Amino acid sequence: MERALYITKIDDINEVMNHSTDFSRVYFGNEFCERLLPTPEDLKKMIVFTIKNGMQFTFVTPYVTNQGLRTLEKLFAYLSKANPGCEVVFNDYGVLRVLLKKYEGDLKPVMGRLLIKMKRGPRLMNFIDILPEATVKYFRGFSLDTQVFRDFLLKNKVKRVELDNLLQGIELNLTNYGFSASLYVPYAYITTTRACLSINCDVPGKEDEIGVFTCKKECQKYVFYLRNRIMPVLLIRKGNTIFFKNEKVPENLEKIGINRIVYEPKIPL
Amino acid sequence: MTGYGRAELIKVLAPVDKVEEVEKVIKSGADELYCGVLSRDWLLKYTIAALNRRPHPACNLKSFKELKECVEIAHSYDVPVALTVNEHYYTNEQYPILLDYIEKALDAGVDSLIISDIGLLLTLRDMSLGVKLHISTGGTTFNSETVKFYQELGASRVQLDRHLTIQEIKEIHKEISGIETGVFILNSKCANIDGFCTFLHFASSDPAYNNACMLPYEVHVESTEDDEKKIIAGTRQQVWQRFHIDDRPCGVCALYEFNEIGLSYAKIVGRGYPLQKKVTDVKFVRSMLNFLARKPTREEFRKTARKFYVLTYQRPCRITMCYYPEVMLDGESTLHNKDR
Repeated sequence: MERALYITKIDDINEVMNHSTDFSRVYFGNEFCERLLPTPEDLKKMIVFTIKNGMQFTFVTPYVTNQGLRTLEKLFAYLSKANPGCEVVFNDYGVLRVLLKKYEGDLKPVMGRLLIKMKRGPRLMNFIDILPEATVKYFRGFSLDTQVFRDFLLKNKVKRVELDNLLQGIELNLTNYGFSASLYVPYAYITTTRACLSINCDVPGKEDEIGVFTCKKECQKYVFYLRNRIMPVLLIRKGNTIFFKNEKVPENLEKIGINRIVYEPKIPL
Repeated sequence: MTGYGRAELIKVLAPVDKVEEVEKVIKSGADELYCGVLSRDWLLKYTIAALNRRPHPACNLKSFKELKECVEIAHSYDVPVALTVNEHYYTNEQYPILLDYIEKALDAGVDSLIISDIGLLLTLRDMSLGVKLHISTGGTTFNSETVKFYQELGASRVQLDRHLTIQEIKEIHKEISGIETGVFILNSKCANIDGFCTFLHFASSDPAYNNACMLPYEVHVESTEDDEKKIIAGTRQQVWQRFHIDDRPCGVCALYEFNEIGLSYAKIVGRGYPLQKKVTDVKFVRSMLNFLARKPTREEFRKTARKFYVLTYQRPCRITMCYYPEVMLDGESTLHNKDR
């Protein structure tokens, strides 16, 4: 079982240094916000570090606007030369298109968890025991269940997919279909937004101004824990994304086709 | 500089849930319609694992017979009808019922299918059914490369995400051709990105199972900032308890820019609303488009839109309820009315 350590900021490189013997791969980047993508300098530092320490590297990317695509293209151009053959997690089909058009063979596309359609809503656990079998099977499945989609991904050089650790469990054997999967532990994302509630969050008078506005990365200063009696788990909002924590790694990893654990030492934002 | 350079105005796409709504919504000014249909077979077998993103019975026609009637009425006015088959994913086991459902919809005469799931898109493309394939907001389109991705897979239309600014939409449109794009307008200003939202989204009479984004939450703030800032930040996290995402959101001011940009349509959100609301919404948008045809300045258009919004919905313009709130903040027009 491969073990990867996922950090979103270059400052957290210490996490990697402290655990370099436990993990053979580093994930670096951001899935949820193009404004939090690393600078070229930080990406370079991370690449140099991983190569020096004999570790594998995976670059994580978010859904992006056209502006974000321009940012990514500069980073891809560097990455394809500095670490050819490395993985790029894409959470945007436009990014996949760019990877295939311009970097096929140089950068390996890995399908990110935002594009793997699963139902993550925790309230399901309140009544899953009384649902019909067909419904439960649906909620334990995800979008790779159809042959035509799997064939499409394989044809487009996608052989690895990233999964969240669902509270209800996962039931799909990907090894039968030529895929490998990674499981993110312990933070599973549930939802994300561009109308971020961290923007101007501590400015008096702006409590109700919601929209896609410029920000000062206030998300780096705050974490919000959301409690409601109907939610069986605590919700964690950091920046534009809500997560829950599930530290219980399923026992049927090999059966699903999971051969990599991606460990998130911090909330990945 | 006034108005726009195109010969045709942006179209209005409106929802219907009952046969008796079709003619009234069309006569109010809708250019195209969209709807969903209940499937009892699906409901019995899959219960809350929905077939489309508004599974409540009130948001759907009750049968394919009703769908056929709707389509016949709409077609008599040369108005096309789209069917939503837009849940984020379907499993292999669901395909027999799903494809049977789609076959019945095509027999009823629908002109297009609104889809999110790529597996379904590929399946329908390969079946060459002769029906147009439109990508739902569930397709999470934020850039021009994604539009082209879907175009290459056979889509003829792509719904851009709610969470884009006017400028971002303009940039996307500059880079694409040969495919229609549109935006949302009015109603359901979702707190989160629909296509990436994996909270349960089903019909329930129990308020505890309402949309998770609008549930009341107790908020605990973790930060090294001072207490005053933490209180303000915590209060902000509860904004969707103070405002309902369906409390008359708008975006009509931006029609000026969207028409200039050359978008094909503005989609009024609202399956499940009473007919009177649908008619009001369509009339509001149509009236503003009729005004736009008289080539007002941007400032004139926005002023008129805001006055008309207040008259129509008995609400002031609120930045929280604006789909494109940059129109309320830019230097040219700062008619920002706070609802406090």
